[in-house]
Order: sequence, then structure tokens, then C-alpha cells
Amino acid sequence: MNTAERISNAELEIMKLLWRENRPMSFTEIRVAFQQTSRWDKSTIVTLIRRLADKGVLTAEKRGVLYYTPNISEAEYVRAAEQQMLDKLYGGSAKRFVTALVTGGKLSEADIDELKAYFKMEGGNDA
Amino acid sequence: MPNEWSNAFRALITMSLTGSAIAAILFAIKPLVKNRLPKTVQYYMWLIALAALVIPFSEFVVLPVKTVVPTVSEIVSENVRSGGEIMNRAAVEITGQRYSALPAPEKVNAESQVYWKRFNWNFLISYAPAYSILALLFLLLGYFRFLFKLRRRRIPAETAELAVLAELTAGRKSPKLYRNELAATPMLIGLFRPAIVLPDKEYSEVQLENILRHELTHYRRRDIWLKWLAVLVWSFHWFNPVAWLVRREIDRACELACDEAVIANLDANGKQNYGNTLISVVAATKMPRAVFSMTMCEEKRALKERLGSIMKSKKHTKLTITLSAVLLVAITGAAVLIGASGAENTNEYTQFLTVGEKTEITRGVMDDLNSALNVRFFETSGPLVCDIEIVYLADGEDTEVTAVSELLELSKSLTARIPSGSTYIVRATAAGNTGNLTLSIVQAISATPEDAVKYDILKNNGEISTIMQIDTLPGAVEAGKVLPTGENAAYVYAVYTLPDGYWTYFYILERGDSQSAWEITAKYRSDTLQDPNASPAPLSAPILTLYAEDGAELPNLSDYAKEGLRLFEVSDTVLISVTVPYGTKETGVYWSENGADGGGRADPYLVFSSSELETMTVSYTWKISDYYPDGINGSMWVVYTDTNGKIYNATAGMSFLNILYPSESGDYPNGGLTDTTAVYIVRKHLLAERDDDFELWNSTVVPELRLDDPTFNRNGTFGVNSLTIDSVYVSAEETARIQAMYRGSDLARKRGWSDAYISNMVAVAVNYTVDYDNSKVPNTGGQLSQYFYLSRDAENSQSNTPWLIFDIMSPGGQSDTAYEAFRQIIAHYNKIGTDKTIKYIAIDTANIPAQVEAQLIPAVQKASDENVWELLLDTYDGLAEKGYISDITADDSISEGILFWFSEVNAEDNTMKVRASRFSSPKDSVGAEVTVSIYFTKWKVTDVSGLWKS
Repeated sequence: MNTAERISNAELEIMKLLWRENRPMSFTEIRVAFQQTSRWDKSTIVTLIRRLADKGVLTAEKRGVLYYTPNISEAEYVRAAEQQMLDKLYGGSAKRFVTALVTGGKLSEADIDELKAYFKMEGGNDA
Repeated sequence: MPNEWSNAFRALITMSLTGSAIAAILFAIKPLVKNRLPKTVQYYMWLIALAALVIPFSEFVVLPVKTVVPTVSEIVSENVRSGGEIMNRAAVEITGQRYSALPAPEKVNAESQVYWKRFNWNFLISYAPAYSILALLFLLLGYFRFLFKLRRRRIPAETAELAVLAELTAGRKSPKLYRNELAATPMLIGLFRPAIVLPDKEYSEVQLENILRHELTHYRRRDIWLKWLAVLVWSFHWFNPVAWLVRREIDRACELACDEAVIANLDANGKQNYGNTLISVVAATKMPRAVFSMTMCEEKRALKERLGSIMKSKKHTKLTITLSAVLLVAITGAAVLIGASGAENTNEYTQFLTVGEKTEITRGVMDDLNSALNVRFFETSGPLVCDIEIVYLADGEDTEVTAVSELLELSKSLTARIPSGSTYIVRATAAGNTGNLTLSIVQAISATPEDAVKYDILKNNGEISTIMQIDTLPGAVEAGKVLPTGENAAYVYAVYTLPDGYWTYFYILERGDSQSAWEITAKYRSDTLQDPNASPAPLSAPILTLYAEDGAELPNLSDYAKEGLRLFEVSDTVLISVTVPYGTKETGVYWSENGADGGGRADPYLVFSSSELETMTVSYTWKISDYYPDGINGSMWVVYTDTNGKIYNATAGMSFLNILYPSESGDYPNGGLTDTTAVYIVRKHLLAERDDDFELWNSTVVPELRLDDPTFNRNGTFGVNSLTIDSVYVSAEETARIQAMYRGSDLARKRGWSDAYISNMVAVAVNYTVDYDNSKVPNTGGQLSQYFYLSRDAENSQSNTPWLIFDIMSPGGQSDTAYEAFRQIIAHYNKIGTDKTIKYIAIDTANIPAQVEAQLIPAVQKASDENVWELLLDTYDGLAEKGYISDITADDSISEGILFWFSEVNAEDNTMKVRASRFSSPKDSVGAEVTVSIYFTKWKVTDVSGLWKS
């Protein structure tokens, strides 16, 4: 899941609010909440919410007006972020210091199939 | 760079080269051995390359003979030597130089030039280790962050899994096992507390076993340690792209070798399972996956390679094992050999010596570039002194010529000069004790400063014209710089040709101590003495075009003449050659120095006019160094008058710095220079006085002034303690003055001096600082200025006969040697051992030649002041009349007066007698007499006689 890398800092603030409140919130509620703490104007908040919804991180539910719920829990997000950071670190410098069974990579399904087809021992059977 | 760094840098470069060489070999044989040798062997072969990059073989291994691969050492030496001294070349763009003709020659602006320097690599190289450490720290930082992040999420492995692990390790040391949802692939991590980390997934037993076997193999082989080592080495060889390739190759080879070990005892089924495990692990990795790509990326290729080699794996025969061993040994040997050949060329020879028995230590042939053999007594187990004999056989001959035969103590060294190309033999005998000793015998390139310079020139493919060690550098070099002095500093002057021209250089050399080689610490081109980074003067100046006042160009100029209108300068700028078409006698070439403000014109000086020339082809070479040895800025202009009287001009600004020491061989392209320019002679003269070199001194003066007897002043020495020449140059004004003075004079007529001869006189001004030993000579030292007058036996200025000094005059008109006669008489007086002190000095000026009076009196006055004598200018009668004689005779026991007079003045052979007598003696008695031969203002004492002679 790539959501972690696709949530910007600003968007994260919205998510944090939703996680904190732990209930579906409407646009107005969200806007009011941010009025105190930030200088974002209406259009900014609209954009952020819309982006999050497009990414599939927020689900919009119509109950008169649209109410938004996060699709990903905070724990999941944190973990994804960690994973992503770890991948970066591993992909960067750490891989030089560890021995990995396989160098994980950007192999597609097709690649995997190709390899499977390729690797056939004589006298062996597919396990 | 400091010496230790230089050595370390050298070692690094050697290792990098060695490693690269081994890597090249391995890459070359890779296709051959890929499927024939065990992967493990191939892995360790790459480790040899790593070893070559990290182990300085040259420090441990000494090759007894020059190897087939001497090039590493030379490559390294070459680069280390020049790594710190990369020459900055300047690109020059000459702009805006116009040579136009105006009737009244106007100020010509100097060339404007644009300089740029090549990047200074020295700075970069000095900080290379810092980059490595920074890079390493950066990598380690990433690693530890990774470790830290990972650790937070680790969970213990399942019991069943731990059981499998325990079974596989069978009681031996085992790494820990963890699961971790953040891990992308199973891995072995950690240097000191290694752990196997599994992604938090389900694994079948078969899969688990394969994974664990794989990681355990890495663990047992300490592959983690080797990986860390590879990273460390790679970080220090960051500049070498081969190091990157090696690291990547080692990673690959490591995995292949590990796979090989895991599947070694598996059947086909087992191997299939293993490969499947690999694929399934990849499939399950959490790395972001491109959904549709079919690209052959690195990971896929690597995995395919591994799968391929699993499929191809087979048992290895004894043959392959043997072959592997041989190959490993061979490659290791190659690595050591290549690495060791990077060692600097020190040759140590250990030999057991018996007292009294001469033993040959070694022999060899001197290289072309070397001319000295250094023998150093390095180590001993017995004798503390040995007797060294070095002989050589000249090319092709059998007879031995002894170069050196002397005792050598421990830790000392000696140098023998051996002709290049000859065979030398070093023999030693123990003196004192019998035992082993070790000698280091090196062909030293830089045993002398000249050798070091010679090597530098030859290395750059220059052809040497002249090399000479000199005492001081030209003033322009010294200005503003602190120059090294002492016996470990030297200056060398060299003239040589390179493809781009003919250059004169001044070198500054230093050595650590008297046993070390000379190193060039600075070098200056003669025409860029002010700024070593300045650009050179152009080698060939442009052609002048003659224009008349109305702008018309001189018509009908033949190509030859046009070509000749070129102010030609050799790079050491001593020659100017101008060819002008033959015109009327108003055709001429003028030179004018720039004025004090750098512009305008000082008095123009006619270099030559065509009336002096007899033929139609007029080509004139004016050696400007004769007149401006230190260089000058000025303008040359050519004036051509055609038969109708129309005048054409062309002007060129010229600026050149000159040398003090011209070439001895004189092989200049456009005629020769000899070692006889006036300035040079004056310098030699002064230095001869400093060094009491009478033969040299005599060679600098006209025969009339030569000293027959070195003990001319009774002390056998010029009495110079120290002498430094501040500046010496041809004085145009003084030259003009004496030429004017002599031209048409009686003296000239009497001596038969033609006008041409007089035109060949020159006055050289010298400013120097001298300290005399006044117990030997009376001369006053200090900062002095003098004119030296030289002439040469020539009918025209294109002569090559030597300049000789015919007269010397200080600007104050004082002539030491006129005083000399006087001084000798006083010395006589003092010698006769009277107790009386001199109270009066009287000079009867009756017969004194006018010029003598002018010089002598001030000198005597000065002496009188110093000695508290009273100087009287009077005849005997006059003195008597004034009562001075009676004053003395009355006071007989205490004081004395001495009267001098001159007689037998012979104008024919220029001699006269200086006589003296004491006041207390009767009139006309001669107490002492000095015969002098006068040559202008130089008096040469040829005889001393008289009653006072003791």
C-alpha cells in the first residue's frame, strides 16, 4: 500500500483530526476545527479533502451533506510510513551491510511468471 | 602535502591500480570460468581483488629484481610527483596590438592578456580521505537508522521455526531469529550480534529450511564481515570506477556461492524447492511492485542468474578443484607481484662479510637519466664499518675505473658518480667485525641539483641546451620571495627546447638533508620572472608594415623584405633581428626605453642605420641582452627613407625580461650568443674577487690589468669576506658618455682606437654589498656602486669576441687602486718598526696627473680622517716654511710626517713612481718608492723599493 507516501503533510493534518475525533465529520466541522489552529482558508481545505477522497484514503458518505471517514487507521498509516522509510533506508545504504535472501525489487506479476516458467530442474517437480 | 600523507596517498593509488589490474584479469577470465569453476571459488577470487585494494603489498614484499611489471611504480611515482605540482598553464590572448606608423613615434600600449589557470588538483587530492570518511559515515548512519527502525517492530520467531534453526545449527553458534513485519525479505543482519530476520509471513517447512540454510551459510562464512569490508574499501576507492564494479561483483558472487553451498547436497527435487523458495520470497516481497512492467531490471536479472546456476549446478571434479586452487594461487601471486612492484625502487642487499675479504654485493647498469649511485649502510648484525668499493666499466670495455673507495659507517651513505650506460660493481669488505650487513643501493636521479633538473626536462621530452648551477637568482625572481639558502638549497639555470619553443628556466631546489635527493620546489621562466603564472612572451612577433605619414604603405616591398620586417625574439629574448629593405642612409632602426611612467619615450637610441651597412641585403641582429641584461620595456621602430625622401615608419612595443647567464653553447636559432656579454664578465670579475680566483679574475680584464702575481698586495687575497651583487646592468648614459668622451680624443688617437672600437665600449653599472677583511685590505665595504668599463676587440657590434674590463670607476670618482700605492708606502712605514705615530701626511701635487689627483686626494683624505692624520697638500719647501718639518723634528720621539711626491711620470708606457720620505729625513731623500703602471684609473703596483724596505 502506497498510501503513506502519498499523503502530504497538510493532508496528514486532516487525517489526524479525523483519527482524533474518531467519527465521520462533515466539511463544515472540519473547517471549523481548523479555523482555530491554522490559517487555511476554505478552498485549501476543500482541495485537501478532495485529494484525500480521490486517493481513496477518505470515504465520503452522504448523510444530507457529505461526511468523511478515513479508510486507513492511524496505526496502519504509521506502519506504512515506517515501511516506506525502511524500504528507503534498505534500498539506500542498509542493503550494503546486510545479506538478503533476495534483493527485493520491482518485479511484476509477469516477471514472476516468467521466472517460474524458466526455473525447471530436470528430474524435479514443482513444489 | 606532508610526507606521511604523500606516502599514504601513494600506497592508496598503488592499491587502486593493483586492484584494478586484478579486477581486469578476473573480468577477462569470467566468461571462461563462469560455468566451469565452483561459484565459491569465483567468489574468493573476487576477494583477492578486494585484498589487493586494501593490502599494501608494496610495504611487506620486496621484489629482489626489477619485475616485468615495473610500470605500477612508475605510474604511481609519476602521479604522486606531479599530483602535487600540476603545472598551471596559462592561455594567452593577445588583443589589440596595432602596429601603425606615425612620423612622431607615439606611445605603444603593451599587449593586454587574458590568463586562465587550470584547476588546481592539489587541493582536491589532499582532502580525498575526508570524502571517504564522510561517505562512510553517511552510509553507516543510514544503516543504524534502519537497524533501529527494524528493531522496534521485531517479534520473536515461532517456536517451530526456532526448532528448525536449532536443528540446522546442531549445537554450534547460532544467530538469533526474528520475525518482523517491516522486513521486505529474509536477511541476515548485524555484525556483532547477527540475527536472521524473516518477514512476518507464513512459510512452509521446506521454504523455512531453505531460507535458514541460506542465511546460516552466510553466517558461517562471515559474509557479513566481508560485506562490511567491501564497503569500507569501496569508500576509500570512491574515485576508481573499478572499485564500484568490484563491489557489485562481490555481492553477486557471494550470493551465487551461498546458493551453491546450500544446494550442494540436494537432489533435483531439493534444488527445485530451493529455487521455488527464492521465487516465492521475491513474489511476496513488500517492495512496491510495478503491475505491468516487463522490464529486465537488475533484480530480475540477478535472480535469473541465480536460478540458472542452480539449474546448471553439478558436482565438481577433482580436476576443477585442482584448477581452482591453481588459479587462486596464480591470481594471488599476480596481485602480490603487481602490488609489490608499486614499491619505490629501493634495493636492499644483505650480505655476509668477512673481515679483509672483498665481496661483490651487486652490479648493474646505470640508467640514462641517472648518474649517481647512492649506497647506504642500512643494517648490520656485525660490522659497524665497511669498506665500500664502487667501480665501473665504461661502455663495452673491460677495465675497471674506480669511482669510490672509502669506509662507510652504519647509517651513513655515500654517492658515486657513474657515467650513464656503464656497468657498475659494488664491493664491500667488513672492517672490524665479520657478519651480515644490509646495504641499500639506489640509482639516484637527483643526487645533484643539476640531475634533478635534467630529469625534469627529459621527462617532458625537452632537449637540453644548457644546465648550470648558479649562486643567486635574478633580482626579479627574488623580489618579494623568501628564497631558501644553505647547503640544502640550490638554484639551477637551464635552457632547453620543447615542442612549443625555446625556454629558459630558473629552478629552485631543496633537499631534506645531505643524504636526500634534490627536489624541485619552484621553477620560473625567464620571461615570466615576476609571476610564474604569467603567460610567455610571444615567440614570434608580428611583421611590421611601414606606413608613411599620409597613410601610404611602402610599395614594392619584396616578400623577402616584408618577411624580414619582423622583430624576432627568442623566448629568452636576447635577440632582435630586423631586416629592412635597403633605403637611403636615413633608413635605420631605433630603440627607445619606456620612460619612468611606463609610457612615452626616453632618449631614442639608434641601433643601426643603413649607412653603416655595405650591402643591399640588410639584416641586423642586435643582442639586446648586451645592453639590457635585466630586461626592459620599450619600443623598436623602423624608419625607412626612400630615394625620394619619403619617410615610412613602423613601430612595435616590446617587453622582455632577460637573463643574467647566457648560454654557453650559444645554440640559438638565429645566430649565436657567447658567454661573454659584458654584464656576465663583470659578474665573473666580482665573484672572482670574492673567491680569490686569480685566474678567473685575470680572464675578465684586459692584459694590461692582469695580475702577474697573486700576492700583489702582499696578502695573496682580495680580502673579500662576503659579496652579494644587488644589480648589474648596462648603463646607457654612462656608455654614451664615455663613448662621446673618447671619440676623437687624443687618447684614442694615441692608442689607435677606431670609432668602431669606441662604439664597442660599454659601461656596466654594479650595485653590490661587500664586506672586506680590513686586516688584509684597506677597502671599505658596504653598499657600493661602481661603473665597470669594458671593451671588445671588434670592428663592429656583431662581433663575438669577449668583453674585457679596462677600467673601473666608482661613481664618486674614487679609485681604490690609486690609493693602493699610497697604502703600500704607509704599510712599509709601519713595518719598519718605529714607535712614532704618523701625524702628518703631505702630498706634493706638483707632477701629479690631474685625474690621479682627483681620485687620490679624497681617498687619502678619508684615510687621514680615519687614522687621525692631518692631510697637507704642499711641497717640501712649503711645509718647511709653515713649520711642519720643524714641528716634527722637534718632537722627534713621538710623531712623524710623511711626504709623498710623484716622479718619472712616463706617458708612453703609463708608469710613474710614487715616492715618499719622512719629514724627519733630509729633503729629497727617498725612503720608499712604489712604481705603478697606470691604466686609466687603475694603478698596478709593479715594484716597491726604498730605504724603508726591511
